[in-house]
Amino acid sequence: MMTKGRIMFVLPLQVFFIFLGIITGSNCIYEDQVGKFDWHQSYIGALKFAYGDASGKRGIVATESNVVAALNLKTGNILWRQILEKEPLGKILYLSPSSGSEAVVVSGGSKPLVRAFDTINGALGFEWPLPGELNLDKVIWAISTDKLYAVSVNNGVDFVVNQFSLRSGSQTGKWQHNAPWAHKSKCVISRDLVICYSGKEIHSVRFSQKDAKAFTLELHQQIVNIRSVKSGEKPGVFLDFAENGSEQSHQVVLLPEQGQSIVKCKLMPYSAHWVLSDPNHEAVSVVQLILKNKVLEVVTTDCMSGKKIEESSSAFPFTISASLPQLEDVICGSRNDLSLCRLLVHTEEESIALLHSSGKQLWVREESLASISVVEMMDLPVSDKDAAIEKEFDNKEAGLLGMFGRRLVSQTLQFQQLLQTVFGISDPIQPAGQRTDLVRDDFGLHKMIVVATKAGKLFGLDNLNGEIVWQKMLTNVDTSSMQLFVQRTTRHGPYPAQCSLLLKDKVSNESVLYTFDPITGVGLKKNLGYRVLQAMLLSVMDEESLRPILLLDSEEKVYIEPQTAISLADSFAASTYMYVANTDTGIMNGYTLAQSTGERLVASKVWDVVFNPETQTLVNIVGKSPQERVHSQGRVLGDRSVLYKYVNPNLIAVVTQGTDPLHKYVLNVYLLDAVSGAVIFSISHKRAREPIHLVHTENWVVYTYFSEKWRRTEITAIELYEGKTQSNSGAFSSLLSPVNPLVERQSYILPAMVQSMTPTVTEKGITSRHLLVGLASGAVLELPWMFVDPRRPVTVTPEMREEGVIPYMPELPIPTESIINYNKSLPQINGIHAAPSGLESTSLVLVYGLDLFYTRVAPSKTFDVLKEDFDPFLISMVLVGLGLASYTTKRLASRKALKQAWK
Amino acid sequence: MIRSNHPYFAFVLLSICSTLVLGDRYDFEIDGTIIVRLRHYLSDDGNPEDRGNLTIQSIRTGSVALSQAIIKPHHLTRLKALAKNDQLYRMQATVVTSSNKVVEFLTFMKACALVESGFSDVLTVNLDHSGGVIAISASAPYGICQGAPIPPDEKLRFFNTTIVVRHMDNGPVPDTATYIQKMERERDARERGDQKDNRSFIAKYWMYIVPLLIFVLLSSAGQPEGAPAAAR
Repeated sequence: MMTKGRIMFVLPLQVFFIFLGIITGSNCIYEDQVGKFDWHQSYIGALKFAYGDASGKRGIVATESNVVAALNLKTGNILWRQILEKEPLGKILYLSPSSGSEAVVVSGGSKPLVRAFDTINGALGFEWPLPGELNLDKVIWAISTDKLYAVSVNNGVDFVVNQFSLRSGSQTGKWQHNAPWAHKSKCVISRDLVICYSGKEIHSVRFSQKDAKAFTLELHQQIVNIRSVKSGEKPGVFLDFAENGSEQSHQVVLLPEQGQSIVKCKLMPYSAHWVLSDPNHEAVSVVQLILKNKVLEVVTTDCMSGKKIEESSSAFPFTISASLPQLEDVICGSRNDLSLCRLLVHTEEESIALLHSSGKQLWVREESLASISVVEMMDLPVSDKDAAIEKEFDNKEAGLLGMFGRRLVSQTLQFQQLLQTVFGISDPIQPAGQRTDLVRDDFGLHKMIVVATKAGKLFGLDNLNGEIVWQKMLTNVDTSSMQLFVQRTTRHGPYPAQCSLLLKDKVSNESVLYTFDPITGVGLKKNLGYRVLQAMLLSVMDEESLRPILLLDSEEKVYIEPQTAISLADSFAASTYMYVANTDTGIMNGYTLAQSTGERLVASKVWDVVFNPETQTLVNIVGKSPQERVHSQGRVLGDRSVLYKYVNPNLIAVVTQGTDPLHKYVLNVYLLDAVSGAVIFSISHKRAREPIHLVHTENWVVYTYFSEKWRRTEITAIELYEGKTQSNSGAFSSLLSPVNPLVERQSYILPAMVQSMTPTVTEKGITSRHLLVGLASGAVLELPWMFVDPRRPVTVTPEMREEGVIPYMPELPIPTESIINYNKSLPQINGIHAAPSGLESTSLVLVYGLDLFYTRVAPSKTFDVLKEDFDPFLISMVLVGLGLASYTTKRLASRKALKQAWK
Repeated sequence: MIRSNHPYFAFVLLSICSTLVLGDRYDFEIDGTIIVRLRHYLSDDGNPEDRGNLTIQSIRTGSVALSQAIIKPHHLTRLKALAKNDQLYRMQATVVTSSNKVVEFLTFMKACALVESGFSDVLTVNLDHSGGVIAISASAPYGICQGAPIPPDEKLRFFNTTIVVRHMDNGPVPDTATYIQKMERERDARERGDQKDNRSFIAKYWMYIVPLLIFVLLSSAGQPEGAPAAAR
């Protein structure tokens, strides 16, 4: 009674939070569910600088992803990881150990920051900004005896040395050395010498001394490349000489330190990578890495004689890369004996590996997974047993007798398998090297995640634990624009699934298509020989259940892959349209294929939209997912009438960032029909700017932007409705009797910075949609669509209440229960991929960026899944018990009735 | 003869029919004039033919002047042929902006839809935030291309064109002011309610207490009767 009375006086705000609790209650998980259906993998990115610390237990690394980390050299795991700011502020320019046990990092754009991290726990030791202005393109950094040196090379003139105290950050000196031979790309620093080459000569100057004299050494051949020697007792350089005929020779030159003599090693046919010196014997040996036929040879030669030292040379198979890995450090522990050393290498594929010099591969880290560009989740194929059953019903033209025969055969097989499992005989015919558990499960929760990374590497990941199932490196490709097409899923009987990755050749810039099986990664690379402007999947399948790819090249020619599908494409040509957008000219063109013939596909231009580049630049174009399903055609209003959704599959959202003399930044969003070229709706936000993230599905568009006026992130939702009547319930047509939709719009404040945004996807689209918003704080927020609904009214009418619309609140809450990655913060989120599972309630989510995080979300709660504590055994026991009890009582009752009848 | 009856250069002012989409539209700081030359293609290949001129006299108000030529009989036959073969009717619009910049736009519709609707088409001119034209698109709102009877030739002499000039809508901003007002109103109402409602607990909730009392009384009154019944 009392509670009823109280609710009457509750604030709408509290109603709202009660609502929130009800809605978001399903999002959060219990503590014991952590890690049950999610996994998290941490990465550091492509290696830039690395060294093994003094203890020999840790490798300190700095990467392209602005990360400083320590790796456990035994396992390859991350001991600690510090993520620096975004570029340009966080761009790492230099990493070096200090004289204490600290890693000194120089990072930044115009104003670099110098920081020191404790190598044991990653704690920040000191941090100071570099005083004064420096042209960082010219600077070579060095650390020597508690001093930081910034040596800026003025090409052909001199170099200026700025000396800073490492601890305090104060400038302790500045001087310059005349060096007419200095050129930044031809100079390196080894210990405290600047060593440059010009022609046949190498020049060196001790930069740490104000008036040191330059030292010049003439060699016998033209030098083409110089690398510094980081190890050993003396400063020195590795030199590569110009090709003499087909022979290229290499040499190691060690320069004098305090009255010692110059050491010029013998010429070598392969370039050297490391210098080992033994202080007792004064002998110097040189390590070379040679990769031949997937065998990596570690060759140690004596510097003076050039003889191979057999006991510290080895050769072993090397499979992680096709090209020679780059040696970052040789970690030897206390003794300088190569046979006990470990080599820290990184490869072109962005993997980091630690090799034991005996040939054992201690660990490999696949760091290209920190730069994923495209993701697709594929169903796994059915098991052999299920495939046999499917085959049974597949062949339709077989007669009655044939069908009967096939059924007998398949049932015999099934019976055989049953016997085998009963008697525990394992199936002997199992293809080697293939994982047996990669088959489709009952609920479609087990999938293969196919990813393509910026390094040009493709991976197949098991979605249950994130394990790498297969990997494939594509060489000589430009990965700046990649598109992944699923041409055939695993649902098509005997044919294997097929995906195609469209990218560019690095040299010719022509398009390359890599067609592969997403389950095994085996595929074929094909150079197309033209530059593709636009590519799309045909909406129909050919007789092999394959969806061909239509490609439009820079000369407006249309191609189809595979070419055999040309007649199929021609039969749908009249209703096939394509569009192309040019970000430089701001022109969007629409093409029709209607003029195609059976032999040749022809694209003819039918519409233009011009975004004048003087007033606005194209930022983003977002279409709808072609696999998208919209279950409900309309929305039931409070008065029981239906507001029909404007569901136009051809609608694309075009975002432009405009400039305006008065408002500075103008953000424009146009909703364009990609078939007819008509602008359905356009909206303009004054003083709003990037970053813009846009989600476009069903009948709505949601986007976030930064409001310059209020200095906050805002989120705007636009919803399109046809009205109270539906124009055409069968099929949508962009061309015939187009409708002007009703537009609902609303803006909200989102108190966070958005990194990425995507909607959840479910199989049939019945489950309500949530938005998954990756935030700069590392959280992934599951935001119900209800909260950004543009129909949220300020003053609630009873009708609206009946419709179930939440009253308007300008600020969206970020409740911690809606953070799907709970306490696992994900730095540098690049994208979120959501895929449907076999369960309608569940959507599978992969968040990628520096880290990978995979989980499942159920936007409308798991309505089709039994609770975890559901006990089928107990239920069946109770049922059996009740059945037995009713049977016995029936018997007893009938006996009693009989006895009574005899009385 | 025909030539004199239908002079090529005799443009007829057919319709000045402009619609501005009302609502929270974008207002420009500067006004301007846009001149559009319309040409259409009467076959899939070949050069475009002149169709008319469109002048947007003021981009702010959206007032337009449109002059289009009479459709010549041989053009009509070609248009009908396009419609019969289910081909596309394409139109090119050349825009000269106030800063004398020439931009070309192409648009199209199904020829059958155009002919079926008796050449009643809609030309939509979309403007961006600075008043520049981003798209000119044609559509025939009445044609459905399902073999509807084609109007007789005498009704197919003119284009009955409707021009729609569409500005961008102003983006919504988070409505904090109204929300705060609403909160304040509610708070005031509550305060007023609190002041008024200083009756005693029983005075406030008598409507719940009385039924409860009656219920208790009834159930206790029923028990003495029930108890002997159970004892019997």
